[in-house]
Amino acid sequence: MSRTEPARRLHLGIFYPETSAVVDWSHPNAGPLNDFDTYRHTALKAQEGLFDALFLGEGALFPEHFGALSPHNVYGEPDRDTILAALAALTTHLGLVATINTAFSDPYDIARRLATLDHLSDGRVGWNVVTSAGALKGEYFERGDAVAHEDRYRRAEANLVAVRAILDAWPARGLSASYFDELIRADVRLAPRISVHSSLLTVDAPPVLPPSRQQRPVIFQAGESNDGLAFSSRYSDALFVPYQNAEDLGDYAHRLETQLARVGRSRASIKVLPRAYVIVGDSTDDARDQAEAYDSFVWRDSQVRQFLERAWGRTLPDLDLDGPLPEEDPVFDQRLDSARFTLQKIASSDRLRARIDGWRSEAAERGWSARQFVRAKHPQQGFFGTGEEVANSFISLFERGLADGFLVHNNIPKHTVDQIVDRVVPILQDRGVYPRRYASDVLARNLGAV
Amino acid sequence: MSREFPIGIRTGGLAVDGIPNGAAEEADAVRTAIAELQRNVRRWDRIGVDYAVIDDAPTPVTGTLLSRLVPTHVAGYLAATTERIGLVPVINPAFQEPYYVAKRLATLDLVAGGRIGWLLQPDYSGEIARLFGRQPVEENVQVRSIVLEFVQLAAAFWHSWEPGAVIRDRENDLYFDVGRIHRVEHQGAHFTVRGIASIHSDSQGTIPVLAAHDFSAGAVGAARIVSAATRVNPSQDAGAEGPAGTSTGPVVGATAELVVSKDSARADVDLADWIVREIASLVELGWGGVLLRPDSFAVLDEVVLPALAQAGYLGSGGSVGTLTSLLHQTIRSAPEGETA
Repeated sequence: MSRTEPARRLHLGIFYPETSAVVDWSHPNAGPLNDFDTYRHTALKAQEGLFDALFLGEGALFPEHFGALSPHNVYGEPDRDTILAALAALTTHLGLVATINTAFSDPYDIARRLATLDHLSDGRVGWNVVTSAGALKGEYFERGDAVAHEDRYRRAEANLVAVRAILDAWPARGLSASYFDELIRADVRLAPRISVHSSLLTVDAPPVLPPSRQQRPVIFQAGESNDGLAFSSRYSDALFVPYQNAEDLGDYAHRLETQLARVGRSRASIKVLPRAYVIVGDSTDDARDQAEAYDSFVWRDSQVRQFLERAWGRTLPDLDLDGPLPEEDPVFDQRLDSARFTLQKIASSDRLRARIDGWRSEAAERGWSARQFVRAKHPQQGFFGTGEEVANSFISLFERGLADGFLVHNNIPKHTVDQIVDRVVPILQDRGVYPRRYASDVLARNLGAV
Repeated sequence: MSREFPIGIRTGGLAVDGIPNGAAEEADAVRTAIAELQRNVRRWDRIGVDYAVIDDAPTPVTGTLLSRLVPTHVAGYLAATTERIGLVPVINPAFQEPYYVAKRLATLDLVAGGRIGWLLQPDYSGEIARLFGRQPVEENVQVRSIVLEFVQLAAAFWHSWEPGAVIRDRENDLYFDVGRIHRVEHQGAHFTVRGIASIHSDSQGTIPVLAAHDFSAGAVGAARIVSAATRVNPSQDAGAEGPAGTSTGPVVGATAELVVSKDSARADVDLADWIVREIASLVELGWGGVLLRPDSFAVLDEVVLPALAQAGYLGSGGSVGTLTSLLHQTIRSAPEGETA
């Protein structure tokens, strides 16, 4: 049992879901998803557990189903910057990661927002760079669809480079008279403006604020697609990935290392944090029962029905969930294909029909009802067990170099973070892979990004 | 927030004494300034200052260090550690998206439990436009038209979730009462936007908007606009003025601004006496409230706030209320012809 701080250490972050089919809002211990008190509780508990960061996503839309508002899905997304600014006042060491899209945000605006958050938190801010605004569409915005799908990474890159240039442009020369502000004004007149005029974006801005103690925000990215991975390998300090098992993470590590080699970066220069669904039980059986209850909630009737209706591209009013898969013909409508519901994009009507035929054959062969089919197609993934079992699973992936840590998905608001901090973290500490105190109160230093 | 003559403080002119020099210490300087602001606002919160306006100077060539931080972010930071004081960030709507501005203000109001206002300060000039790679808007009439539509649209987003829309009915698998959710379908002269807010605005429902006089009259829709800053130091003008009476539409009060520095009073007049007399004269002239514009924390701390407390102008930390309820006091105290 090691009492010294580990050389290579495991990192933990908490991902706070804003909307999702996988948030169990009905759990008796679940806090109200959008109350500020739930955010405060989550942040303070994560800090108690020495987590590197709280991570907020962005861009979900009010749940709709075939044009009608859906009453079943949890939803609510307060403004990320504002929540993080408030949490900055209540925390001292926890990193605060904001998701800001590069499609509907301007570089100057992003730079100023990040610089402000980084100063309010005194060096604890990260930026999760996303190329689109999630499901948000141009119709929400005055500017409309600003970026063509194929240009999104080019726009993201141009945006990120411009943001960095604005953040880095603060004059390095010292100041020399009594009033800080007058001097800043004097110095800034000497500093270059950041001017970019391209088909992707236009900006002409002066430096915004002096650098924080962190110098610049830590960059996070999802980076799953090849384009995403190419982007991440150039710019990211940390990656969060959806894979939760050794095989998938091994494949990902190979792809990542290839990309990193192309840009001359080492694997050690970037942190890989799988998103982790975690359920901690009193015993292995208890954890399994809880996981089953959770999965039953995730795939309750309304969700099974919505999944099938999206897959079929039409409403299915006569669908009996305990009967066979629907006999109706599917309707091809590309707009309804959505990765958010784990359906792969389908390029044509024929291919949709072929897939549905395949599903029907498979279900008939195995004697599955519609409900059983949908459950079988979505095997539960995650880390379920006693605190010790979850810790062992984390450590196994960590020690094999497949993960540098985990971004725990806070699927049961308040409850999940409590469970990890109280029941998993102490074991990680005893096993010598997790620190007993924060190394720093600057995010980049805790994460080893500097 | 419970009195009849609301007293606010603008933070935009506040400079922090003792800021260290030298580039290596600039981060320390910002940290010191933020800590000083937080310490003071918490104090104002305790002694009963009604609201603080968080000013905005979007480029480093204007304003103080504090006002270069994004005002809504600073308001969020302050909201987390205060209980009663209203927090009113300045937001320039120029080249911003109504969806995001509405969302940010609704979130602030959630964090602050209904203590948020919006000081509308439009600037569509060339200096701002080029930050965003856009064209400036020169014509006042055009600016006014864009801004009013922007505010109307923000209010539409605030109202897209009625109170009680989240029901969390586990038994029936109903998270929402979707009958209480309304889609914004807006097609106006300047904006065409369709969508639903991402967050409820249960705290106040409608965030009160403070605006310069030009932008107050004629606001439409559900937005509630309060006229602010229509005169600076009105009682010191040659013909000591009350609020102008040209407002029509949902303008609900008039607030005077008062510049406060250690040199505000004549050499032979005690500053504490001066501030108390100034406020009494504003009340007399029919103003609905005052927004102090100090140039240092020290002058507030040492002279102005103790004098106002002693004269009974500051609340003693009474019941926690919303900024809207505070401004309703302003409506009632506004002179004849000033309310809609």
